[in-house]
Amino acid sequence: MMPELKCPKCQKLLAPESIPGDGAVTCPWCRGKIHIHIFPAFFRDFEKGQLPEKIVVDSEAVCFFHLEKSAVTSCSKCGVFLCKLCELDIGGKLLCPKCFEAGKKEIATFTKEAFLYDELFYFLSLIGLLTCYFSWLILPISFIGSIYCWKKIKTPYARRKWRFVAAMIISVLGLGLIGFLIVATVSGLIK
Amino acid sequence: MDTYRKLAKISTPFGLFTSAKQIWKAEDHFLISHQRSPFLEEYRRYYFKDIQYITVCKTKAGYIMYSVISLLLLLSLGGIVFFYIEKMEEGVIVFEIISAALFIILLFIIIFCGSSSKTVIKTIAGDDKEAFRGFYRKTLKVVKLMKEQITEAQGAMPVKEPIPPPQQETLPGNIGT
Repeated sequence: MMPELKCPKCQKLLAPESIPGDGAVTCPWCRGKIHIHIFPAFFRDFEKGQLPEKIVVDSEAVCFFHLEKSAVTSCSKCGVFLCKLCELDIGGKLLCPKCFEAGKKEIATFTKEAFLYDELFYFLSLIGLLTCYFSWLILPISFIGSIYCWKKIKTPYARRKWRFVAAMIISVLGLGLIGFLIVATVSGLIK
Repeated sequence: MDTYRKLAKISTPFGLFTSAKQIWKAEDHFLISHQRSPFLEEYRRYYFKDIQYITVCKTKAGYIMYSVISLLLLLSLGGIVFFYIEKMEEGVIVFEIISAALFIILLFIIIFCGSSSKTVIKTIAGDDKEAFRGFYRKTLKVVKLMKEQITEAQGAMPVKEPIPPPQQETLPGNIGT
């Protein structure tokens, strides 16, 4: 099958002869200038997965999920036999579909989104500092939350923790200020 | 777990209103992170071996931002002249001068960064979706870095077989002459 390339502006197909391997081209439809970088995968088709083989003799090991297919490997987590169709190569480990589904959230390669607790508590600490009436409630929440969720962020990359630290510092300073104001008011320093 | 190295942070001319996208490089893929909401970040992975092409084209966002800031700068300058003629208080004129200076700085930043662009990454498995938007010059630099990694993983481009020239038919009368 001939590979296709669409203009990113007008979404119309570009003629194969007008596509340079690497460089700028003007779209014949919208006259927009496009920088194109083509790689060898452009000429490669989607690789189909291997099909499982049927069992030949009764004594042959069979797939846990397909009893008529011969097993080729076993799941590295639960140990069940797997055929070619069921084996899932996840970062060098062979997993069965059930173990994959169960541990999908834990595998960094499949993380699609992550909740940013550090942003939340950093934001809360700033809000706590600005809203005078609820500071006594928001600042402790921000401080305790920062400690509790320190290791809870599941970003695939190593995220810096400065927001947690900043949230804790702001919370402590804010609470210190509240404490000082209360003591000063009670002791008569502030009238 | 994959170890990621930050490749670039791409922001748009409207960067004040939308969050920037970050591009990370792992051993065999790129990870593009985007903060969808203030506390939620989503990720897209592009494996080096699967990337078919990358296209970069200019968008109008940069020009719009450029026009808006130019207009605001003109209004500020006009304000300075107007308040000076009308002999308004010094504070008002100082305020106008500060805002004009800010607009000049913003305008220089936008001129320096170049126009805005849209980048599309097409993989074998995926549809050709927009990967990120950013300033044109920076985007070209980032794409160059990405290109190096992809070329390393995929190797050189296959050499196109030259089309043989059409053979000239020999006329029967010319045989033997």
